[in-house]
Amino acid sequence: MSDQLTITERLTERGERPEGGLEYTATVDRPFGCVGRPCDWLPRVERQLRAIAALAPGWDSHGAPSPDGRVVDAAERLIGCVSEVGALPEPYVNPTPGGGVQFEWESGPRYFEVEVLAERAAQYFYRDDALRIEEQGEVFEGESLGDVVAYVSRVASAS
Amino acid sequence: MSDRPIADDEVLYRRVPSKPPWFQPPDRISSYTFKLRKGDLGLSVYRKQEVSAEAVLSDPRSLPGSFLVQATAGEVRSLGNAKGDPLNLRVIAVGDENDPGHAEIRGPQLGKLSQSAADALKKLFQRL
Repeated sequence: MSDQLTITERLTERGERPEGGLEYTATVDRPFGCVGRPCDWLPRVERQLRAIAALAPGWDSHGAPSPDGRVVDAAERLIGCVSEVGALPEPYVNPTPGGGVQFEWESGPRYFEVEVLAERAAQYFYRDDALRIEEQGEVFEGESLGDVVAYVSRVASAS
Repeated sequence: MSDRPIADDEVLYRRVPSKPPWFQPPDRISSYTFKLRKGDLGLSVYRKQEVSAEAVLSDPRSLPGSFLVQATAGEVRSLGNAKGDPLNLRVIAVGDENDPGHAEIRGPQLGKLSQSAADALKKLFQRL
């Protein structure tokens, strides 16, 4: 059993489907102590993601394109993995103006957001006003989500 | 219409639709409200001295139920991140006859506002 949470690429056959190529499936190497069952809020978040994927072009009245379905799928994989840690608060789920998906957690002086920018890349931002801390970074598919989970946990502990 | 420089004490309006992803009831404004769309050079705001709140809200691009948040240009320019480091934001007049009072908040890098800047702007701008 791994001691970190990861998103793992899995190569699958796509048969005659025209887009071909790779399919990415999130799997979890469960960390020590992880309950391994998704948080109760995951189905709600998944419904929100499907609603985001269905947004029509121009949905923001300023000509925004429809979100990229591949990015929404990547966001679903990421949040699915994060939810398996258990006992984490439900995120706010939003599209981003750039066509990505953003998850936000906020409690008291602490705030964390992770923005899925592309099929395999996300950037995150953490702020704690009480400690005057601000940190940011990037995470790519296949890498550990340990930092993301740690920041969400920090926000949760401010409640 | 005016493209004269914007004084520090000028009040700026930012339009916020009252629904996700801009706003989560009952009172939470998302950082989405302060992020740039693809192709934007800066974040659109309106100058109180040049255009009324009613006119900003009645613009055809305004979604029904939108409201305004406000801050002064000086507050934007002096904004720092949580650590106190300056964000070096600029406020530039870009209004024309078709969009009077329009101005933009721009980051040090044209066409880019950091997550830190969006978060700081979210905390700064207050509901009218």
